[in-house]
Amino acid sequence: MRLRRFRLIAAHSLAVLSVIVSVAAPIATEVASAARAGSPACPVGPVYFGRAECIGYFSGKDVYSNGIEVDSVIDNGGTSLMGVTNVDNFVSTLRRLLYGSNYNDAFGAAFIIDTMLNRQGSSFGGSRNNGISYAKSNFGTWETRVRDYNAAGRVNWNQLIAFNAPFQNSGRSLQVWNDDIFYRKTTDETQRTIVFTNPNGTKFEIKKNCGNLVGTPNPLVASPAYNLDPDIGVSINNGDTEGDVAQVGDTIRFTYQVENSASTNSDGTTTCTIYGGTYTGYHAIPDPEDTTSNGGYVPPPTGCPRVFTRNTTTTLATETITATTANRTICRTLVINPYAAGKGPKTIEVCVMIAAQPYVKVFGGDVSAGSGMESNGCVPNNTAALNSWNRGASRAFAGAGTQFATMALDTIKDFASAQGNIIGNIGGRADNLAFANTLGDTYGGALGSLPCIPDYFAQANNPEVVPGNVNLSSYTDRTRSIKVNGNATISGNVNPGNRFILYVDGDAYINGNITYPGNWLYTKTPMFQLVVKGSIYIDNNVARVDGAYIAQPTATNTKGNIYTCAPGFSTYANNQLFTNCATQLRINGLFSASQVYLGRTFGSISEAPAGETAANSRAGEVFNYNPTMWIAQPLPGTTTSNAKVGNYDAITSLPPVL
Amino acid sequence: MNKDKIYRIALVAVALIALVAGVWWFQGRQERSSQAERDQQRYNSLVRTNDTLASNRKYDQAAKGLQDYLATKPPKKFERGAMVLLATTYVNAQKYDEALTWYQKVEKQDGKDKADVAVGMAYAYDAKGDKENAIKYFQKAIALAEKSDDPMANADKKSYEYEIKRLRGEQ
Repeated sequence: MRLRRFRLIAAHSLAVLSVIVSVAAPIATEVASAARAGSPACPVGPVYFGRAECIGYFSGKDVYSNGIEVDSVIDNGGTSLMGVTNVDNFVSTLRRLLYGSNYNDAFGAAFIIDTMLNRQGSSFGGSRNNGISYAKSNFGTWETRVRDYNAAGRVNWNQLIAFNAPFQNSGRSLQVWNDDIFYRKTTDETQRTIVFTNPNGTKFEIKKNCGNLVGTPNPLVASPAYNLDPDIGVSINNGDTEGDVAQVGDTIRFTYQVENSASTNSDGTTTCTIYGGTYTGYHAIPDPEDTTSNGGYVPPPTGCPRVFTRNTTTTLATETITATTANRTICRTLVINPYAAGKGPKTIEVCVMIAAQPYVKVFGGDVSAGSGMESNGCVPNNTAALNSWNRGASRAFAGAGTQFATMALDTIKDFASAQGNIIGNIGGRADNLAFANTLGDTYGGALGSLPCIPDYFAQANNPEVVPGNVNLSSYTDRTRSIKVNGNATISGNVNPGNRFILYVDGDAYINGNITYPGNWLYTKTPMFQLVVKGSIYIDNNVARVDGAYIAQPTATNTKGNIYTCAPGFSTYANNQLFTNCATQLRINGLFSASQVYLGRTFGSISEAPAGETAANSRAGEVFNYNPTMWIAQPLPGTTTSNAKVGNYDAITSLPPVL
Repeated sequence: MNKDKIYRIALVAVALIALVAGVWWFQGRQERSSQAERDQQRYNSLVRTNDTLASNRKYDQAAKGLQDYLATKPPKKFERGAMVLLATTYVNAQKYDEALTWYQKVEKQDGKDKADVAVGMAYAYDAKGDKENAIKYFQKAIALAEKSDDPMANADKKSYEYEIKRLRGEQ
């Protein structure tokens, strides 16, 4: 009985013992866990990438044993990441360590890369090698992400940070198991740190002296695939004025826009900067574009940085200004940065010239372009055009034009017909007397053919040869033509009773007004024609020329032009016209030439009133084709068979009367 | 009046006094506790704000916030933290003389060398180009690491040794 009882007791004791033995391991673990939980370095609660404090990131092993013992995540020969100052050496350093022979540094680099990519520690099956493999396989993704952050200005490579204890730290465990862990550091520390800042403000921080992740590590996010394009729209006078040339008094509206052509919203980091510059004269848009402002320019607010919705064009701001000074170029630049994730800035610049838009007016006559010249075999110029500036239909076609007909073998642009005529702009048209008006263009053009222009120079009938300096005022009751062999400089009055033609076998430079002064009997009606086998240059100070001015090409088919503003026997450069050619030129007569260069910059079409008359015209050149051109009997031409002119007995006007 | 009655009255009086004192003490403790919580929250908010501004490299704004905070005479333990933050902010803002001024204030207040200040001063001198003082403070940091029971002390020591070698042109 006693024995049995002993056995029973023994059996019971054995059972108890076996129970004790069977639970010993879990109890020991619990005791260790409890100790770990109570330690300042390994508090319970925080979990990073699936691992609690003091639990190996790759292995999942608890490394606590009467505390922890740790070293740097990255040793790198004692230099860790101290030498990292930019994205290139950060990427290259981690690549070298990941693929290098130092195993601790290899999985240390993998620890950084994998956590930056938000890889959970539990995904490695307890193996550091798996962590290294994952980092190698995803190195490209990681590098792209790091470079995107860097390009977006989201990385500070050398920030000094004071860490107030206790704070989250990490390290490589030196006891229990060789693995990287997260733990709580209990002493204050100041360290150089690499800081990645996420779009939501969270961070991923790496201490440079050890490669340890510090603070709450928030993984880097993939960059959204947005694609932005900046644009600046220009509208002058609410769109009434086409192009990029405005005049004083015009309103100019700049509309700043950004188009996101991708199917992903932008990440809200793109900044938008507007620069404004005003330059004297013409300012070409440089390459790269202007990115400074002048004149105290204050840009409109843009609301950037902001999110740009996918497949949408966003208007950032509009800015309306009034042009106050001519001969200026007003430019605006819009810079967005980045235009895409990981990319840099994209810039656009537009400029509006504040210019005078001088124009030409013709009263009492027609204008045609494209006729062949008899001296050149009457070959028409099918590309001949009339080209000036006109304010268009909304402003009753004020500006350039003629009172009667326009004819051109090619285009007529911004040059109206029938201005001030009884026909006027009936039906809101500018081509009522345009030949032809079949194109549907606003101003007409493309007339099939035009009469040939006579070879006036060949009509010279025994002219008197005179020296090259011609003062017209010196002639009295002259009816015999004169001729200059070579270049001629011409000025002076054509007094009543004078009727003659000046032939110049060279270039002519008109350096003073040529006028028909005073009044006269019809029998004394003055008549002056200048016929030049070369070009005619009219000095910039000349304000009036009366008579007919004809320039024919030379025998080699060069020249034959008329320049209405010239410094001598030469021409001004385009950028000199505004300053030098501001005097209005009135032509009481006609021009005939291969090409007429209308250089006067006296007025601007913004000053041109509808119903403009010759008296109040603001045109740079004002043509008055008047009766003196036909009341005075022309001089008889040569008696050769190609004579085109001679005395007439009567003049009448026949239909069509334009 | 018999003795029992006197004792009872005395007992009640003592009890009342104890009760009033207890209530007074409890209320004071509550207030002190609430104040401590508020101080802690205010400091945490300061650190967060400073962190955000530093991330955006708005160091001047961060420094102003810290100085405004210090002007309110916060509790000592928060004051030190704010002073160290201010000094590091000045280092990041490349205002090294201001940084050193604040580090020296903390150093004086601490009355002994501490690693966070020593390292901060070393980097401030380093950035300023004063190698001699930078080395001196890294050496202080090494000495502190050698005496530290921090698990990372050895690794920290190695990094400071590296910095000294760099400053001496040995790297």
